[in-house]
Amino acid sequence: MCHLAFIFLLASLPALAEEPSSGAEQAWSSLGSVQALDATFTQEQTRALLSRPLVSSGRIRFERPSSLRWETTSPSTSVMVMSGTQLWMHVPDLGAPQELNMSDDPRVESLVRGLLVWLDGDLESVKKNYTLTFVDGPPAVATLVPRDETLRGTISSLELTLAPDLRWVQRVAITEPDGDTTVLTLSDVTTPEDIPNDVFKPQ
Amino acid sequence: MSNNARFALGALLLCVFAVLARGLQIDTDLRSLLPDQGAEADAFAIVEEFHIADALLFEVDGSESTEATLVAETHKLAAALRAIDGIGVVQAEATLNDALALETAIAPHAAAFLSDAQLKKALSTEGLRKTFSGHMALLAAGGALGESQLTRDPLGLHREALRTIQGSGNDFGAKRGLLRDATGKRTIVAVWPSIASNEIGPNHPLVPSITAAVEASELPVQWLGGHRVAAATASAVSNDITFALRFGSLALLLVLFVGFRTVRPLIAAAGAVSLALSAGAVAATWLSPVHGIAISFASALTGLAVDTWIHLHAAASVSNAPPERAFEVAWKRLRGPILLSMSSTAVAFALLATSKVPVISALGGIGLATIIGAVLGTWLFGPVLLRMAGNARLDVRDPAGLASLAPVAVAAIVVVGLGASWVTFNSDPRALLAVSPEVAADEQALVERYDLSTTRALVVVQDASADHLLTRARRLERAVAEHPITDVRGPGMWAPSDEHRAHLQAELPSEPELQQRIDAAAADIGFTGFPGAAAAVIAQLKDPVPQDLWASTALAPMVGRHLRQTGDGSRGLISIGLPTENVAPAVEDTIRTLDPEAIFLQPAKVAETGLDRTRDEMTLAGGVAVLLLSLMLAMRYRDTERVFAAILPCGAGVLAALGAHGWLGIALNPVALAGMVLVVGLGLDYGVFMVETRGDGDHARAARGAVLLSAATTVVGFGSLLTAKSPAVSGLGLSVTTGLSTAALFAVVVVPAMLRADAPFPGVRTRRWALRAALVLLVLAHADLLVANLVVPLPPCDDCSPSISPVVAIDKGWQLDDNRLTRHHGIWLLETEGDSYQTGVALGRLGAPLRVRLENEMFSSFHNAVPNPLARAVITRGAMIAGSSLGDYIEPAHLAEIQGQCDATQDHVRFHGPLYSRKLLYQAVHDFGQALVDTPLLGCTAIAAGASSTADGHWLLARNFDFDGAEAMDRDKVVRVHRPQQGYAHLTVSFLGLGGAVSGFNEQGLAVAINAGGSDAPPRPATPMTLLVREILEQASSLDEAEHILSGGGGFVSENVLVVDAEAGEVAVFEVSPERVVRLTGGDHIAVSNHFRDPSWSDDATNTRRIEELTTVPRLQRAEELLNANLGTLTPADARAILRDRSAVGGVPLPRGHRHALDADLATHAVVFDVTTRTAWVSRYPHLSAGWMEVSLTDVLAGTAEPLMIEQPDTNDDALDALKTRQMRSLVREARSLSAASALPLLHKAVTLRPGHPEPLLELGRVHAELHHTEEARIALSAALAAPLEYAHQEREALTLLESLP
Repeated sequence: MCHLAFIFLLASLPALAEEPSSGAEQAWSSLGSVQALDATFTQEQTRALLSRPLVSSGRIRFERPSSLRWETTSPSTSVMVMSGTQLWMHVPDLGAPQELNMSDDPRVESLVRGLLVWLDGDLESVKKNYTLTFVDGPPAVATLVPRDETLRGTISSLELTLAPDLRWVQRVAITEPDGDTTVLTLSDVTTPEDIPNDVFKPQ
Repeated sequence: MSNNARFALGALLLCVFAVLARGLQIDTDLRSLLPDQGAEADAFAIVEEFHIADALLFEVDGSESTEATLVAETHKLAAALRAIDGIGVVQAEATLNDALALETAIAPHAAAFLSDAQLKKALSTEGLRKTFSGHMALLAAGGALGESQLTRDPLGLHREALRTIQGSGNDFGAKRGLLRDATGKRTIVAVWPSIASNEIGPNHPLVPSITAAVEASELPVQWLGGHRVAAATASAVSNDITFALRFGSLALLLVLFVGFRTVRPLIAAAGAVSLALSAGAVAATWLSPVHGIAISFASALTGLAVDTWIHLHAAASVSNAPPERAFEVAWKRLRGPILLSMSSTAVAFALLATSKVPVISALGGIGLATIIGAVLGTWLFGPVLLRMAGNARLDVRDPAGLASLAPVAVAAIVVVGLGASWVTFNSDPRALLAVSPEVAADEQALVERYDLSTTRALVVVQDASADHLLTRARRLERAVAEHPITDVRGPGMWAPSDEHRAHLQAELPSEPELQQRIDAAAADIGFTGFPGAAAAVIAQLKDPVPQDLWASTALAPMVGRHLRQTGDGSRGLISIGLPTENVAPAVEDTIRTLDPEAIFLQPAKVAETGLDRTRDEMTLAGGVAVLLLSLMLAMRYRDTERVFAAILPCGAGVLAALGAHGWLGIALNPVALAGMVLVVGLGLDYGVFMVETRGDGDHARAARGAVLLSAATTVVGFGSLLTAKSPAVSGLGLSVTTGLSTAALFAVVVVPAMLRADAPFPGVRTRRWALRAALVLLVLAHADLLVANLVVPLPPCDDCSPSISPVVAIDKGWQLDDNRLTRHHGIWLLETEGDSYQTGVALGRLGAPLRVRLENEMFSSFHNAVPNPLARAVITRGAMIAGSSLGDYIEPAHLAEIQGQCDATQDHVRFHGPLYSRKLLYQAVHDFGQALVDTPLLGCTAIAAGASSTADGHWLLARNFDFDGAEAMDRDKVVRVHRPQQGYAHLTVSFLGLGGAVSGFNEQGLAVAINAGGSDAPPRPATPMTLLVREILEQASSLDEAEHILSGGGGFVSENVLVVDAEAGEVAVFEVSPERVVRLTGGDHIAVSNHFRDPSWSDDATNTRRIEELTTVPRLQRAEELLNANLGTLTPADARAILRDRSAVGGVPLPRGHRHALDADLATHAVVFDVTTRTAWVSRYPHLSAGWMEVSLTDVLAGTAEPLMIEQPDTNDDALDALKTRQMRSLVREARSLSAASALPLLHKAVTLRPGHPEPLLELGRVHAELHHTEEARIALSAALAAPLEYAHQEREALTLLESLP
């Protein structure tokens, strides 16, 4: 019996640990209030595959609920557009654009949503899919660990550093199980009322 | 037998026939119009087995809707289609899972799916760097998402392999989960029904079900496919026949009523008609299923019975015999003509019944049975029914002026008959299909949007072993891909053979070496490396590719279309996209030489050939029938005039029918041609009755009335077919209506006038003149034959006999004794040696199909260039007379070779003189061409360089042989290596059938190339220039010896002869005219085009005109410019690049195909000779756009030659582009022969094919000006002038036209 009680106790520990603070509630409430976001980014990837870090930069535009245009301008040009479950990607160096419906393969959808979870303004959804640790700032930092085992095979954790006014995430550090890391930093952030629809069309 | 007994027997027969005819089946299968035995039938069996022609394509247009609606409607349509019985496979979705399944399937074998060129490129340092750069870009864009993709496929081989098998050349692909067009706004649903399109009859539910599914869509849907066309055709034929039968029957009754003014004769005719029809129906049942078109003849066949009956009735009515004896009296009187008429028509039908074409043989059988039924019915029912009918007379007046109409009728038929001279026969089976405007619009839109118009050729390979089949298929696919084709798809593509894998493995570097290359390229781009990548590639090539690899992927239905398991092994189908039909022979030759057991076929061509055979069969049957009929008539009448009079109506009828087609611009089709049999049969019937009753008062009037009435019933019946939707049925209507109405007119107007005792038509004087004219024509024809046979040169050898050794198949070709014809990279290599006569025999036997094809194409070009048959005859005879002494100027050995060719060749050409004299003339075709027209079609450019001008001191000769003539000269070009019995071995490049040479070099290091020239010296009979060149190659080893031969042979016409002596290190251009030879020495380099440059020609007006008017100067300037730019460093590769130059002087860009360029998409061959090493590089068809074949004379002579292909472009794009220039020129030529309005669409297409080219622009400007489209004309002419125009006279014309515009 005592043994059984110990197991229950152990099982309840993560739940206790992940209970976010009111700071998290406030932060996601603030993040969720932003309808659209337009920023430039710098992304630095450190990978075992690469002999030196890969630094890329470009522009990101996002509008709720799930419209995204991710344009890389350096070191090479590419465009990724997401609209609902549709994903369109054009890397000129690879030839013709690729298009896919993520709902055809939940694994791909899960990975894409995982990589972009920092744009999700819904705390309940985040809590459902990730173990959340939140440290009040400034700067406030949230650490997310995927609950889904498959996703954990690709992403170990995401560390989100929020802007002082908590309206957007200004830095995302992604750690992968093999130790590879990606650090994304946003700058020149604006939060327009809305973004023209054409921006989220594949072109 | 009593009359009542006959009636009872007739009634019994009618009952029996009615019972026997119950199983009649009608179909609308297009194949019924083609022979059911032989190559065509086999071909269609294959097409059917693989369901090749049976794909349906649907397009949902979402350009005006939301994406959600488009997706929903596409899924809805796909679901609705899937629910239809017989629909088979429906492919609309292309999901990510499909893509993943494909990648999963191909990943373990990806490298095996690539060609050796693709794999080499992918694994080259440059290829690897490109792939890794792409990976880096993907990582930068997608981070972890990209990494998963690149680690799965680090060398990009999966992607390349999938691209290879999926690349269809069609402008649609998978996007957002559906198959879509380039805009993404239209989705595609592809359907492969399990029911073949030829099973679709008028009442088949498949197409109505599909139509319902299409109509249920909320978005516009267009669709095309064989099933839709088949259903439309079946329905149209069915409706046409039903209408014709109903209308024809009513019209028949009406006409008879009008003729007799009482219904009694109508009722009486029922006996003969019903027995005739029921007999025909029994025959149709026996031959079931019969095509609906054969049934559409029913009303005409009824006309035969009615015709007999009318004649009998009319004769009885004027016999004044009592009713009970009226039939016997009439029958006794008309028995002879009736039996003569009926048996003559029966002969024609009997001949048709022997046809191999089902619809024709069915028509023959039905016709024969109907005639027997008609005669039998008349005889059995006649006595009783005629008594019932009474003696109602045909009220036909006998106007006095009827005979005076005869000249008018003859004049009219002469005018109408003129149309027959330009009547054409349409062999395209699609011309017989009934396609509604709606179906046609859908088809046109989809064909244009998705570029589905490509002609396809098929290759079928059968083998007991599946793996062996794959090996053969892969080999063929690889060889075919070297040709200018749009795509090739076959079993090898889906399951690479073991041989292919082994070949790729052998080409790979070792694993450590490859890994090192991969790591080095990866490091250059910024990757740490891809350990194990080299081992993975090797592993991909190691294991056999399972044949069920694609079973669980979306491509499974496609694979089944290329590979089938049959009871006795496997059968594979290779499908080849051809940009034009003219490419097909090149592909066919490659298939034939590489794998003689493989079957090559072009479905469209096969159908055309089948219909051509049908036409020939019917023409022959018609000829035989007319001959037999004439004999029968001659036996009966024993009087030329009466025989002629009896035949005249049917002759006039046939002429009128042909003339009507010609005047109306409607091509004859096989069904319309079959209708001629009826015209012959009934026309003869009319003639016979009019001859039989000539000058017999009442009976003559009765016969005339009967003919008119009979013709009226048939013409009215067939007139209803004129409005038929089915071109086959309406063609039949036109033939019979015009033919029979004319035959009847001649029978009642001209025949009586001819046979009139007093003042017959035509009058004595006219007859005398006609006789004289006929005699003159006869004399002229004989004189022509006499001239043709008297002036022909005789072969030199009387007792030569061709080798009887068999032609043996060897690798890539055939061998006869020591002579070989093999095919390498699309170019023929002909090796001949020894006795001249036997060499000719070898040429004749080894290259027979090639030569026949070339001759056909040459005649076709000749017909296009000189459309007037009289002008052609004059030219042909003129050339024959002019060339009658040609043999005197040709070396005996060369004559013997020509004779050998002729002795080993079956002549397939008629009316163009004996084979030997024709072949002799062909040797001078180059000279005749220049002599006749000083043609700008021949425009060649050449350069030669050596010593200090080239990089290694080697002597090079490079030339383009530009000739805007038969495509076969380029496509079927032959590299010939000949070892004569006496003289030097040499290599030449030309085409089969040309005994001489235009480009070549010999083992002594002497190279020659000729470029057309021009001078005031008139052409004269002499050794043809091509044979002089051959003589130089065989006899000369120095420039002096070459000059000696040129001076001795003299010039037939004027020519630039470029000669290089590599051993002595010299080059010269000999400017040869019929009067003198001028030698220009070139130092160590020289260029030459098509004019003479020696100052002594300065007063020569012809040479000056060439300089000022033609393109020779710009080409020479550009060649010299490029040569000078490469002096001291010139290599064979540079020389090839110079020949491929497409710019004007100074490197100014020109529109592609411009004749100022060295490479104007005109060269029938381009060659670069390294005379020092005795090596040749020969351009691959088309023109200079598909790389080169390298061949060494030394290797060929040593028997170790293995010609290589070099500088092969990565894609066929340039080759396909070159073919567009040809198409453009062909369209412009065609447009020139049309009216301005008809030419306009062709010229618009020509401009689209080659934008900015001055030739179509000038023509367009001219046509617009003619149509008073001032602004369009101005734009086109200004653009043509800016291009710039190619010839000076064109520029003058454009300026004049511009000035004349308001």
